[in-house]
Amino acid sequence: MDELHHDQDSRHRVEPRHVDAVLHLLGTHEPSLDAITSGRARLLAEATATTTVNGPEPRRKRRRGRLIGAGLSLAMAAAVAAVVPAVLSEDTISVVARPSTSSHPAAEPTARQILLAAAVAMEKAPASGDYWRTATVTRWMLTDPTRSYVLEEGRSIEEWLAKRPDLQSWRIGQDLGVKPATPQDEAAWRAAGAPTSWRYPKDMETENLFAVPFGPLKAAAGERTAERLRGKWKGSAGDMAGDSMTWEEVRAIPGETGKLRSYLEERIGRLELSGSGMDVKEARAYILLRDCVGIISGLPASPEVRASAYRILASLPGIQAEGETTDPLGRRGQALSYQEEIEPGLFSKVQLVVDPGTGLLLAEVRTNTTTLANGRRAELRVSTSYRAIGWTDERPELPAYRS
Amino acid sequence: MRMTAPPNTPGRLDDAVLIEQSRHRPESFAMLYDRHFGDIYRYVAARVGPQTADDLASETFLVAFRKRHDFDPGRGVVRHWLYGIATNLLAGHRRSETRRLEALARVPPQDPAEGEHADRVAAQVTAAGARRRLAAELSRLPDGERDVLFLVAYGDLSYEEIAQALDIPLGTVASRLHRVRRRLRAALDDLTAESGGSDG
Repeated sequence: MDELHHDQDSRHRVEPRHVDAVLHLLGTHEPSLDAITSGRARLLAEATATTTVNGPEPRRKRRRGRLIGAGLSLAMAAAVAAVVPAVLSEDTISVVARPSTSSHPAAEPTARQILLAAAVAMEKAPASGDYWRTATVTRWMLTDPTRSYVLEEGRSIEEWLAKRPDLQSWRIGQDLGVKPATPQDEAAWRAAGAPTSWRYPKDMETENLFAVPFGPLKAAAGERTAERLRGKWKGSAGDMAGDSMTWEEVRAIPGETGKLRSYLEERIGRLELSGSGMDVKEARAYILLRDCVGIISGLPASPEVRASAYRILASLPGIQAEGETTDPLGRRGQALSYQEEIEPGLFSKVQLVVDPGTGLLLAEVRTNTTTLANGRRAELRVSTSYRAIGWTDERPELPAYRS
Repeated sequence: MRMTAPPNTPGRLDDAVLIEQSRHRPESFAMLYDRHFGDIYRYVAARVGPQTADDLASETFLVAFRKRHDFDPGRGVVRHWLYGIATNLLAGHRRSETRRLEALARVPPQDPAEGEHADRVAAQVTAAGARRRLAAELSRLPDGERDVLFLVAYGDLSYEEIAQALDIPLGTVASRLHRVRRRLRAALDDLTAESGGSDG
């Protein structure tokens, strides 16, 4: 049978009862908090030393003491790491409202109105199905090795998480290849001889958000491949603020808005934030915002919980409506934005594109700018677009190659 | 064991992308530490005990950080690469690992509590015997076979993943696991060879 053929789980090579006997004999030792924090401090000390020596630009060099002394707890660091990919865990994070520079015509909906409309629509989403499916397209930009134009790389990922034990959970991924980011970049790329692979010098100077790729970058897209989720991953329903959540834990999240807020605040309150160099209040507000986005964008929680996450977002300061927009996949939606401080004094704009009609988050887009070799200012964007988030009775279309 | 989220969960950056970032923002590497320290620690602690593991698990990430330029995303995922580094570091602690297993093989069975049913006492003695036989067998396993067994048991790695982590051919992994299975079977399942009762 096809399935048996592909299920080359190494556990089949060692009797499961023997593996259990080994686990039973030697036990499972959890690291002490002390081991976690001192190991992390060692790593950061080395990282800081590296930054000091090879820091790309003096502007971004850090005071040595700041990182070593940061002493961010693992939970907090994981929280920030998991929800704010482009943000250093040590950075001060701010969601304080900044004065808006653009004035919106009165006819345009406010962020609050959009989020509340999305909440109402979300309540009608299906509450169950055979699979919890999330399908995303992630794209990120980087300059070519000569900094003459901007390239965009992409990857698509589908995750099919089955709650029922008789169904397989899958992750299907595909590298979407590399291409010039905009028509202007395409012109510069053609002028450079339209290369289809790019090799970066190891010591290339880079800027925030993205770094030099390892091997040569290739224009061609990759194969679509499927990976069966097994072992520990199979039991996980996703994660929130860096903590993996079991299905039971997700089911236990309260749906009513006030209760959800208390539940999240209680979890956030347990994070050790003092001594991190952050303003604790700001950090908590930020994590609350990110937890809500996390619930909306991927956790298999009930429609009620997801609607409440929108309602909490509607009550938070610092989120602004930017009017109708097109997401990276060309779909129309309402843009909401807030500022994220990715390094002290360096802000990055985060845009959430929401479809208030369905309550679905269409995309999350982070934008920074860079200066190319000829002095042109260019945008460097990192985006995740959601093609699907929710329950379905459909089955994954599996490619020939599976592991 | 603690649940670990898949590395490519939507909304979070791929481990490989984080390594790329860490090339010019070395602190980004701390995120990989946060994601994988627990797993690596449990693997190392099972083999050399919690005390040595404190140091060795954190050493794993320092080595990984220094070698981050060598990580090749085409040859497996970051998590497996970290297991490979930890396994290389464990090679410097073979003696303490086997001493620990030998000690486990010598642990006497606990005295049965007073008034306990004879059947249960017998079952306990048998279990203790099996534990000691297992510990003894593990201490005798060739290093390479012990590596693959622990990567399966504690890392939940498939044999392709082990091949990538240890940079050895797939066939080598398969034959090592095959030998491990035969040896464990002989040690644990062949109870006629060594009766539980006489095992004290």
